[in-house]
Amino acid sequence: MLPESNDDLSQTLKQLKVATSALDKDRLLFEAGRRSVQHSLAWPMATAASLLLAGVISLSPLLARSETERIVYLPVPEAAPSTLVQQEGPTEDSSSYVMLLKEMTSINPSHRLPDISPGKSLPMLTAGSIAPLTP
Amino acid sequence: MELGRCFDRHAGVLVLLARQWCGTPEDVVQEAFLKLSTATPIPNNPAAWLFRVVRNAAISAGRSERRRGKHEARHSQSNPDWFVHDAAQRLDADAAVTAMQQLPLEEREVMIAHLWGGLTFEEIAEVMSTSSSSAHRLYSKGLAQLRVLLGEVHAP
Repeated sequence: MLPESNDDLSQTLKQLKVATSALDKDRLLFEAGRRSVQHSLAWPMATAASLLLAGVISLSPLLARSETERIVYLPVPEAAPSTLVQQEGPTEDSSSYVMLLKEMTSINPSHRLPDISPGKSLPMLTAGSIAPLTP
Repeated sequence: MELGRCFDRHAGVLVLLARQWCGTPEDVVQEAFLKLSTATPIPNNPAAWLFRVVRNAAISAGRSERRRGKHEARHSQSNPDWFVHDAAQRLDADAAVTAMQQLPLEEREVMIAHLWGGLTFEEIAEVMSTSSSSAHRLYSKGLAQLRVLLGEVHAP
């Protein structure tokens, strides 16, 4: 008996159950999982980055050792001869002995300066060799 | 939606829909589900998305088959088991299939998507790239035509 109204016909048609497909659900889900993993580049990228980092770290001591000390020889400028000659003999001002005698002479002009020409040994200063400092 | 539940809910109807155009509906539907599993972003309406993808792929597969010399009608009539046979049903499954095969393809498509796919006319319109009023008109027309065809079958 055919339903009278279109709504009834729709309901009657809806009651028909669609035949199950020949598709294998398990195989489909397996294939879906395989494809989703295949397209993911996250893990290969992470592995490559880790390997690169490990390589850099292991090579860093070798790279640091390659920095060697270098000795550079620079030409030394020749010293002027005049400077050397001036520095050979004792200068008048630089000798403390002469300075002391000059100071004593300024205090006591009667005191005779010893001969300090080159080649002569300097006299020993003793308590008796200097006249008493009297005003 | 979980892929497994989506499969249980729609796989049979999608195969029935794809069968209207091509002779390898299972391959088309399987490929659509695999596309869904890797789709980014996940479609808001997976059912409508699946119907659209299956429809387009089935039309494309049907064109390829026709180029290879196969006939379209052979596909829809090669497997008459569209529905489960149940004596308790008010309508004979074979009679329904025979009547539906005489409907124009567009009307058949709308009826399958609405009656057994559970899609609204708005969703069907999106799948078929038409308006919802056109989809509703096709459905009403198909239903009326089916009534006539089934009446001829049930006539004494």
